[in-house]
Amino acid sequence: MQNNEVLRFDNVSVRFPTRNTPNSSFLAIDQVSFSLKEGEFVAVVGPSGCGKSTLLNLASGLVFASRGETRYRGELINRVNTKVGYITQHDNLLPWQSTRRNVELALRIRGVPKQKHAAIAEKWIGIVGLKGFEEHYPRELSGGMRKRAGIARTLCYEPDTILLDEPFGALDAQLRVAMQDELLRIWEEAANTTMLFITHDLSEAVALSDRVIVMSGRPGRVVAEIDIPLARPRVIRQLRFLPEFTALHEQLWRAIEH
Amino acid sequence: MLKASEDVASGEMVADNLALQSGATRHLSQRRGVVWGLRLGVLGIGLAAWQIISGTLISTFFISRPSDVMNELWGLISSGILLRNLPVTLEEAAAGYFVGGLLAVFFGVLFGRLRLLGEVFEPFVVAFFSIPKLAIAPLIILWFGIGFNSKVVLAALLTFYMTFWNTYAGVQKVDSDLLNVVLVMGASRRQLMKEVIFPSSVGWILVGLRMSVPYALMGAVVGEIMAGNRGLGYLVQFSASQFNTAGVFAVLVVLCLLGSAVNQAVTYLGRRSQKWNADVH
Repeated sequence: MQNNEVLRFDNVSVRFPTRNTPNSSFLAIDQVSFSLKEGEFVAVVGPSGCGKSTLLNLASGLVFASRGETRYRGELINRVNTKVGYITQHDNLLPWQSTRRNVELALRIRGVPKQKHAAIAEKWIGIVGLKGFEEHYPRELSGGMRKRAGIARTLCYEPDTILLDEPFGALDAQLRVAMQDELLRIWEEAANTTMLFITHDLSEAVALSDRVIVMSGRPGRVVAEIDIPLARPRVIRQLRFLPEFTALHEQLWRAIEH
Repeated sequence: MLKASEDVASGEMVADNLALQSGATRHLSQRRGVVWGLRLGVLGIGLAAWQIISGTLISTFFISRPSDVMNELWGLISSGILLRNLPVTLEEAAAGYFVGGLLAVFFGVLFGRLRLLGEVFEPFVVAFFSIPKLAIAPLIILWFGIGFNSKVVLAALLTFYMTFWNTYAGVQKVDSDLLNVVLVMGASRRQLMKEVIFPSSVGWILVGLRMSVPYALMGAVVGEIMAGNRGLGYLVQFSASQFNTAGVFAVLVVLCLLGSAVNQAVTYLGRRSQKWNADVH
């Protein structure tokens, strides 16, 4: 094991009981192995229902492997992993609190001194473009705005590793590119934050990551690992017109169709 | 609108809503006036019908008549009898409501969060509360005497049920994804309770508490009817034993008004704490 390895899936299989039919189960992911080095940006692509979200639940200690093991910085994950920040597919904001109070949630939980909360929240609300909506309740925000509030809420406490489950899926094309650029900038600035990014958008995977893990349909298996040696810092808007980008995108397509 | 960026679009939406709302507010206040007018109409017709029927179709001995009830009510007020007895009932009901509500929320949260405990105790709670509370009243009076305490216990018992079930259901309905996200942030049990479980159940708890208000009054009044020499229940019992139907109705009117007033107060408090919740408005 390398000492800068942050997250490791080692031959992990996850079996879930089938609802409604007792004594039966289905295999969500099958013997998945891969690892993330510190500061690495890894994307996972694959058809829907291939257990991509299960990988994030394993990494955050919300789901446990039926076989194999998941390790975080060498330690077996056998309870909730609070070292990671989890941006789930649904925004999961607290509906009874304002945008600002939602963004401050992790700061309250982690015992960050109270007098710092307002400044941190203000900064992140600005970054995700929600200035002016600080005192709105989630039900008063659009889907995309809620999504961005959720992202601000996780990024603002600077977790060691960030797990993202299709965070930009609900956004329109323009906003998505803007948020991708923003995410890259944040990640490039914050030294050594590790990212595990789930998406079904192949060009998003190529544009953002250092490495793409390609998974097959149910049960999810790793069918390919493709390095993305595009230079950083990257600007998403320009990236799409580079021949290297097109070639990698092409390669990913072939891997997924395989 | 579709091509506009999201912020602009939602900004327009907010503006549209505001315009719509001010129109709707005017419409709503007009409507409220109509509703209140109709309500008063219904009340008037009901009272008039009662006044006409009594003494003609049905003997006043059984149903009295509104004018007699008003006289009796005025008598209760002017003689100071109401003012002596009303606070007694109110205190019993309030104390019972407070104790019963508190215990209900506590056990509702406890059984709702600790699934094993909940599953074990659920049938006992169901069985216990399927006993008609009136049937336990004599026992309660035997245990707690004919004074203040037995009425408080009865009011608490009746309050407990509704609030308990609502709290129990509300706590179990907490979004598990939400819980997980907050757990991953590193929340302790206490923080999970404070940030997620409690606020998400408050709406349910308030509904339970609101529905319990008339039951708390009922508990106190039933206790007074069965044993006691003070309070609105005693007045009902006393008037009935004198065959004073108008007296009974007069106290019932007081109880009606009291129940409605307390219900309004609880509803108002509930709305204020649920500003975030679209369902409540």
